Amino acid sequence: MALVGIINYGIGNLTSVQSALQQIKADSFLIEDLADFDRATHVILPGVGAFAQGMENLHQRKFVSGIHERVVQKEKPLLGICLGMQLLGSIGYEFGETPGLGIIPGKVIKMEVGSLRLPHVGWNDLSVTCPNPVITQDFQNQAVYFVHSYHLVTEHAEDTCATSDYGIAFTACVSRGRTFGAQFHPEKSQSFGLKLLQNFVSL
Amino acid sequence: MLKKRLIPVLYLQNGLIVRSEAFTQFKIIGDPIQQLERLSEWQADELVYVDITRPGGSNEQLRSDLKYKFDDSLIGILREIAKFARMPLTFGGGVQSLQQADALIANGADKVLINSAVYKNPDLITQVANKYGSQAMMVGIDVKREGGKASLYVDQGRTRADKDILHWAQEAVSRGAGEILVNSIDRDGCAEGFDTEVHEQVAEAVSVPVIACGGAGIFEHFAEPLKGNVSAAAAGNIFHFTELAYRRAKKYLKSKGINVR
Repeated sequence: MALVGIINYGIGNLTSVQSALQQIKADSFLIEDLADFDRATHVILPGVGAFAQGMENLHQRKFVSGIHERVVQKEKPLLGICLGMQLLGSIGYEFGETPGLGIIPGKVIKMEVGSLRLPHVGWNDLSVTCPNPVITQDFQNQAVYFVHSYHLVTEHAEDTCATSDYGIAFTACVSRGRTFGAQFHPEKSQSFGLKLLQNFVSL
Repeated sequence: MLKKRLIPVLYLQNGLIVRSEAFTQFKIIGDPIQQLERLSEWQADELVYVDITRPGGSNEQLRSDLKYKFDDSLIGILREIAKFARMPLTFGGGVQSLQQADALIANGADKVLINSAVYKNPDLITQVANKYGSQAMMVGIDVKREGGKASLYVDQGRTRADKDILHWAQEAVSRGAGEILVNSIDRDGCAEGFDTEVHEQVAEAVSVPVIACGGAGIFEHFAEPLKGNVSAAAAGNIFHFTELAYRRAKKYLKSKGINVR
């Protein structure tokens, strides 16, 4: 039985992720200290806000080593959502230059969208480039809810498993080993968002 | 491609959903949680809740004899809504301080909508944007036409403001607003269509998404602003009183080649 740990690092609103998990009848709790990582069978790194602040908060709580040693090395499934997905990258360029978790090699830069508006807010279609058990082929052409101005540019094309289009094709989902990421908000994307979470907790 | 959004706006007064007309007349529609069930079934793109309880009013009318029981405060209503809403939620109305914005976001709002308070204290935009990101800061702008000219209003439509609409919209964005909701007071509840001209002017003046609100009476009306540069159209009454209005509006917009979900 899955027990999902949601990393509480003082950034953004965790209640919507919790209530989405409740809706799919998955048990969850908030990870508040290092020992909590070991109780979780699955770990979610949520987050809304800026890259530099996000990393600072993770460091303050010693969660960077927690994520590496107690999640990734233990091959526990990890899901980054929105800023949480961006933090999986190697380096972020929002408010200066900040090293990320480095789980998915790549950089987080501002979207170059020409005359289009930023933030990129609203429902946009997914294009599945490399299906996996979490982002299955069912997600092809499904609209999900995005809100962001930065995006993760993966170093290895195979780490990007779905893209979306806003002036440019950008990475909407990543996967590498047991680590997954969604730039959009599954907890705010109605039935297909819940499906993603269901697929994740079923790993 | 990014879809144009269609956003139901729910006005809360004393803890109940009400219908609003010209910002002055209100009629009770029902319990916010029952309304939410319908909106979820429709797969609404996003929801905006605006509390228009006048100072001195309370939420006492909402008691346990209604279908759902929760505490008497607006925060309690928000918490209940956030539990079930699998779509983005904006809460606003009477927000005066960063502390109040904190409370809304901590209890499940994805964005806060602030109108008069940021006009009087524009730094509040920056405070909210710095703490939660621009995407969480939606600035509301109320406009009213007088002798053909659109003017900026504050205090729920009671006070004419000094600043020019477009200058204020640009200032709000430079201070950190991530979205602008433009509500037309004289179109509110009149069902005569959007004031597309003013919405389009604001959309052209700023680089962030603009939401057009006020005046939708038939779903054909939504096509007008959405054909232009606004990112979303919002409405209240039509979704309460017209059978299947949300789905029919989406279907109509698709048939007109407008990219909606």
